[in-house]
Amino acid sequence: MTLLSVEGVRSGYGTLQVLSDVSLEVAAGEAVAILGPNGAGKSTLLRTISGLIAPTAGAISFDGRDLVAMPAHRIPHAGLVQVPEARHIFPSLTVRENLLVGGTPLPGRAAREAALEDIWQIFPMLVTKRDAQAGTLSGGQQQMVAIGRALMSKPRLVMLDEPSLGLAPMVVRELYEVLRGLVRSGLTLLLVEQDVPVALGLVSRAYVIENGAIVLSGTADELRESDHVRHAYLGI
Amino acid sequence: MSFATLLQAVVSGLLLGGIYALVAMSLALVFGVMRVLNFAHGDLLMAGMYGIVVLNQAFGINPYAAIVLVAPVLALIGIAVYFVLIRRVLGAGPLMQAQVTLGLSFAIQSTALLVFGADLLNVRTSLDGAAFRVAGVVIGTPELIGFLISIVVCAALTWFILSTEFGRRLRAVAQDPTMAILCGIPVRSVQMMVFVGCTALLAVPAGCLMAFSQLTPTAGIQYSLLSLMVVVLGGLGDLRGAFVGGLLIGIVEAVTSALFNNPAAPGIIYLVFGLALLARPRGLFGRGSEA
Repeated sequence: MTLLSVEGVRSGYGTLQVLSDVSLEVAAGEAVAILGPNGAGKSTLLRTISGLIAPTAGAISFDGRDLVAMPAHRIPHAGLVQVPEARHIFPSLTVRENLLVGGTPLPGRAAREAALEDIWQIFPMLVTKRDAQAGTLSGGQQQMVAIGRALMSKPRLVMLDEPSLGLAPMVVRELYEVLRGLVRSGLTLLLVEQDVPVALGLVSRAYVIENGAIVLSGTADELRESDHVRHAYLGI
Repeated sequence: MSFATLLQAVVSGLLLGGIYALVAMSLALVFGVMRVLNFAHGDLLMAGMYGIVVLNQAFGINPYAAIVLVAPVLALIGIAVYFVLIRRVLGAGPLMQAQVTLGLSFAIQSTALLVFGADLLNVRTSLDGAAFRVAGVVIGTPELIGFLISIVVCAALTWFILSTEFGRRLRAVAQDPTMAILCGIPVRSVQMMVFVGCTALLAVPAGCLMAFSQLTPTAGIQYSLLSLMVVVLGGLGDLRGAFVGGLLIGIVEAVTSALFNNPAAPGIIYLVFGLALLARPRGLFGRGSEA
C-alpha cells in the first residue's frame, strides 16, 4: 500500500527553482533512500513534503490525504514527521522536554509519558541525560534526541535528513544499528543520506536525485550494481 | 549624600524596580517568542492605567481589584493589535516592526490625550500616603504592595513557562520556530496567545503603579523606553535577565535622582545603560541576542 506519494513536484525558494519534476512513492513498512550530491535538492524535497515550502506544481499525498493543502504544523498530526538536517534540537530544553515537545501530536499527558518510556528503551544511553540541557550533549547523542523526538508522536513515516552528518564513523555505525532495528520492527523510513554505502546497507529501495530531478531508481542491490552509482557515489 | 539617603533610594528603587521587572518580563517574552520588539509596550501599559483610573473614578473600585477587570479588556486590545498589526510584521525586518509598533505608540498616546486630556490623573485609595519606617527607611505601603504583587506574578509567570505543557511549547517556539512546526506545534497561535497574554498581564503593573503614581498621556513612552532598556540590558529574550534588569534600573533610577537633584538625573540612567551594554552586549547573563 502506498503511504507517501509525490507526483511531478516542482519547488524552490522564491524565484529559485530547485526541484523541476520529482515523483516518488514510499509504501508502508518500506525503507527508502534519496541519494544525490550536495545541492541536488534532497533537503528541499523533504522541506516541501513537510509543508515548510509550498510546491509550485505537482501533488503530494500521505495516506490518501492531500499534504499540499494541509498547514505544516498539522502534518505531524497526520503521522508524518521529519528529522531535519543538523538535528535542530531545542538546545536549552532538557532531553526529556525535547522528547515531550516531539509528542505534541499525541492525545494527552498519559500518552506522552508512555511514549517517553518507549524512547528510553530505544535509546537507553539517553536515560542518564534526561534532565541535561540538550545543547550540552555530544553530536551523536543530539542525533538520538532528534530521532527520539520524531518517534515520540508514533509516526507512520519518518523522514531523516543526513543523520550521519558530522558524526564519527563509530557513532554512525551505532546510529544505523538502531535504525536497522526500527525498520525491522516496521517503521516506514524515507532517508536522505550522502554516505551512499551506509544508506544502501539499510534501505530496500532508493532514488537518485541530481539537479532537481530523479535520474535513477531501483532496489538497493540494483543501484549498487549500476555504473552511474558506482562511478558517481561509490568511487569504484 | 549620607548613607541613610542612599539606603532610602536603594529601597525605594527596588520597590519600583519589582514592577519594572514584571513589565520588562512581559516585553521580553513577546520578543523571545515573536522576535518583535514592541515599542508600544509601555503605551499598552498606559492604556491599562487609564482603565484603572476610569474604574476608580466612575465606580470607586480600588486599583488592585480593578486589575481583574482591566485584564480582559487589555486582552481584547491585544487580540485586535495582533491581528491588525503584529501578524503582518512577524518575520519582517526590525525597521518595519519598529515603524508599526511606534505608530501604534503614537496612536495610543494621541487617543489618551483626546479622551482624557493632558491633566495629571490619579486614583484615591484608603492607602494614600500610607507608609511605615524600618530602620530609618521610609517604605510606602502602596509601593510595597505593588512590589509584592509584581514579584509573586513574576514567579508565577516563570513557573508557568518552566513547568507547564504550554510553557514548554512556548520555549520550543522561542528557540526554533521552524522545528516547533515540524513537531506539530501551531506556532502562529502560540505567538498570538503569548502576545495577548502578555498584553493582558500588563493590567497587574497598571494597577500597582496607579496606586501611588500619577498618569499623563506621555507616561506610555517613558515606560516603553524603560522596559526596552531593561530588556536590552537583561539580554534580548532572556527572562531572568529582564527580571534582574528591572530591579537594577529601578535602583539606578532612584539613586541617580537622589544623587543629582536636578532635571538631568534621568539622563544618567541612559549613560549607565550605555556603559553596561558596552561591557556586556549580550545582556547581564550573556544569554540574549546581540543588541
